[in-house]
Amino acid sequence: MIPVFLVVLLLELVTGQHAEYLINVEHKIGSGDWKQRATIILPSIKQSSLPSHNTPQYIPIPANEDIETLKRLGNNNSTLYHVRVPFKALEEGEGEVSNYVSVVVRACSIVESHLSHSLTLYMDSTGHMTGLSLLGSAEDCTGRTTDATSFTTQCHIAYPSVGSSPDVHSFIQVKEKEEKKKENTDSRSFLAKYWMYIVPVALIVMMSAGGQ
Amino acid sequence: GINAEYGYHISGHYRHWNIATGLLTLDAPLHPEPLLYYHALPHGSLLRVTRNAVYGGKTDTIEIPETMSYVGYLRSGQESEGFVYVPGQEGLIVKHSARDDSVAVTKIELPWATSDVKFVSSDDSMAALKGDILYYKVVGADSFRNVILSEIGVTWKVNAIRAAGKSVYIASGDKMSAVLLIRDGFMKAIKALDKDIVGQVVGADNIVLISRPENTVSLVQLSNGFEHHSYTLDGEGDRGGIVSINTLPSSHPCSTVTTVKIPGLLISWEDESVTVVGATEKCGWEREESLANVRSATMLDLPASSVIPLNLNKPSNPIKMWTDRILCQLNDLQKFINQHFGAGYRDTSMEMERDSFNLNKLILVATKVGKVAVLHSISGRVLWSRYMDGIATLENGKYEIRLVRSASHYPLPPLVAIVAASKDNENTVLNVINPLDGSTQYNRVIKSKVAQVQLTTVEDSEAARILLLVTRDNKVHTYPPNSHSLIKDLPLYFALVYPDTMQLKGFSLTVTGESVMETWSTKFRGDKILSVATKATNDAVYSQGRVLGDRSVLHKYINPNLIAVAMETGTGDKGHVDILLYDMVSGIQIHTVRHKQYSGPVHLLLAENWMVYHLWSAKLRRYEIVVAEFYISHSSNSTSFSSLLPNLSPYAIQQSYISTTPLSALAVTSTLKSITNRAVLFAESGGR
Repeated sequence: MIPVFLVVLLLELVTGQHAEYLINVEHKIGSGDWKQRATIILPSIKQSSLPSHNTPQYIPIPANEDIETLKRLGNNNSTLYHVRVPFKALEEGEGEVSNYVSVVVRACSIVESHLSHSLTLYMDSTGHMTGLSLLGSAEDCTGRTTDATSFTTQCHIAYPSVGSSPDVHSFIQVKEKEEKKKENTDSRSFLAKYWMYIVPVALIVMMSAGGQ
Repeated sequence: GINAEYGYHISGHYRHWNIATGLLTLDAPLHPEPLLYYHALPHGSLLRVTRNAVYGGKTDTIEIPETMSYVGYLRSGQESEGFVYVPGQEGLIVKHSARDDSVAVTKIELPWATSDVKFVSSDDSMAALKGDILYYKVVGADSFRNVILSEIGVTWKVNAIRAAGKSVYIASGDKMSAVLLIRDGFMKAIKALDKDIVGQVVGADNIVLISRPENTVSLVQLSNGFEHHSYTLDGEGDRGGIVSINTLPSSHPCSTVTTVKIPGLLISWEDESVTVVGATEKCGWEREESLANVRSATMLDLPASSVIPLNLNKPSNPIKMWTDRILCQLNDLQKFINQHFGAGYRDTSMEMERDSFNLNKLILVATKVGKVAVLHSISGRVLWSRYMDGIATLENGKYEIRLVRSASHYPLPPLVAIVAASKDNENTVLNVINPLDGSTQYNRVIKSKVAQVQLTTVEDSEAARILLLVTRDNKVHTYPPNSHSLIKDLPLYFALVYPDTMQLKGFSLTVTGESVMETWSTKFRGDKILSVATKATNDAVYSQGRVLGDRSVLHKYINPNLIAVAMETGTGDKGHVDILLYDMVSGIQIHTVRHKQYSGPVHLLLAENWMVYHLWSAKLRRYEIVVAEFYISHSSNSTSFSSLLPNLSPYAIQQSYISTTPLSALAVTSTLKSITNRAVLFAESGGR
């Protein structure tokens, strides 16, 4: 009875270990339609110290990448390239979301950085996206073309950094040091310190002067 | 006040003091039921009528059905009445007589009082207009009397009736008005005029009538309709309606005492100005109280020379240009000599001219009620003021004022555009005026709410910069009208914050220039957006990096298109404040910070490559100022920057400090080339 129970518990621990979160990355070239470009699988949405928990797994869908269209329209400097993700990282079985977080860049910048760029998803601790960042290496649209045939994407997840707090501790330490130094010094006046030597000398002088 | 639908919810106590001695004469708890109406009785108690009972008098419990709504309270001497009714059916009159402290409730049938009929009550009577029949009732009567208006001499169509004092009403139609009086229980028409009038009863037997738009004041005797005296108010322009009229005592210089006492009047108008007027000349005064409620203001430069026009734009023959210039310079020389060596010479035309340091400016202000005025910056004198009827502030509580054409393009007049919402808040009103004299150059009502107002740098053929109004339906309207062809190639991007749905969306102008399209969007997960900040449009950075002590350089991240949003979630110990930084053009998030156990209010400032914000630490109970500077790890080779070609990832260096006081505003200084060190100005709420 008890061994069966233990085996079942072990099985559950192994298989149902962590719920995985899915993020669908969609893209749109110019005024076309939104197509799914990749899927990102996240082991966990909480910021954790184990690096494996926060490394996303980026799975591209090559069929939807539309490289030819991108290269063709990328010659025109004014074509825009849009990327969007759903507002929330979905667990398995959850439905669609109606809100998206999107960014827009020039299509020529993607082409001229040889289709290689880094995609950063800014997420808060509940799995909701606050923003995206899509950075390439192209600085200018000079009309170069590329031989690359598929996207090379480095995907990162970024969490909000902790706000800094005023550094009160070191200031207090400095103040305490000054206080201690002040305590050691004697702050009485000259007369108050040396009256026991001055008074007998004055008496002797007066007596010798009076004696004459 | 008393809510006509549900009654007045008072809980607590009712206390009554004797004013002469200060002794508390009555202290009673109030029943926690919604009150329909109440009034104080002479001996100090309070007569209260709730839905179920009448308290305070000698009476039994009465039941007032839920469907009745409270209409009015009438009073005449010792009798007072309250009136509740169900539209179209019946009503109840609750009468109280102070003589014997009795309360009587009478039911009356009101089949004519449908829900579109509005009751108006003056002190001791009540009236309602239905079609061309006027129903009325005085205090003490048990039912409503009615009169067909054409029978008493009012043959034209009456649109509304207004109360004007004890038993007196003013019926107004299109350009016709009549004064109606209830005497001996019957309604009579005293006087009919072919103007639009407002009025107020003064004294026992007189009524003051003010007719608009001529602004003539006349005193009419109620017993016989005889008009005693009339005079005209001076002061130009429309002041809107009259809010209240008070009569001045006979000792006031504006009140004349002849065979008939004509009192002076203190009138407060809809445009927040107060005037004292009287029959005698030069006795009254006027005050512009609306300047205490200024909602938006802008500074305008004066023209360089007001004496001789310099027609620099139109080329004419060289001889004429030369003589023009010589004449202008001779005139300036004459003014210079007079100024410095002439005894007591003061040229008043100098007031409307630019001085040498350009300190002499005009201040254009727009107030809460829709009054626009121009003040002189040195003397503070009001140059002109105008009441713009029908406008109200936009949703952010301000007006958008933009300088479309400055005063340097003589002979073309300077133009200032004022964008406001209409009074019913559904439309947008664009007024373009000449700030030197207040005349309207262009007026338009756009049938949707405005989302953004942008002044572009593109000028049309008359040196007027094109103003864009983007409305909520994503359409672009221009002033000068239909200038879409001039702006269609403009790289215009802007971002809109939606605090109610917690979204931030970026837009850009479409190819045709007639609409905008949404390019990116993001959604926040927080409770409230506390503050949004962007950089000033002319923000220049003088140095590209910061040199450290060991000769290494920190390269600054300079992005002119940043927008920072401060957001709070939760309260107190469980709350946090998030600061998010986006690029307005591409939507890329640059930076995000979370301050746990902090809360608003947050003041946010963005300039150069840094961000300063001031917030409240709920955990440590103190204000803190945080400074974040953005640097990039290597300098980019290209000298151009484009938000749509992102390749830089900045990092932030943050430091925070303790601040002792709350702030009311945070700003940064700016100079022409930004060479001077910039100072951050903290305006503390204590005034420092």
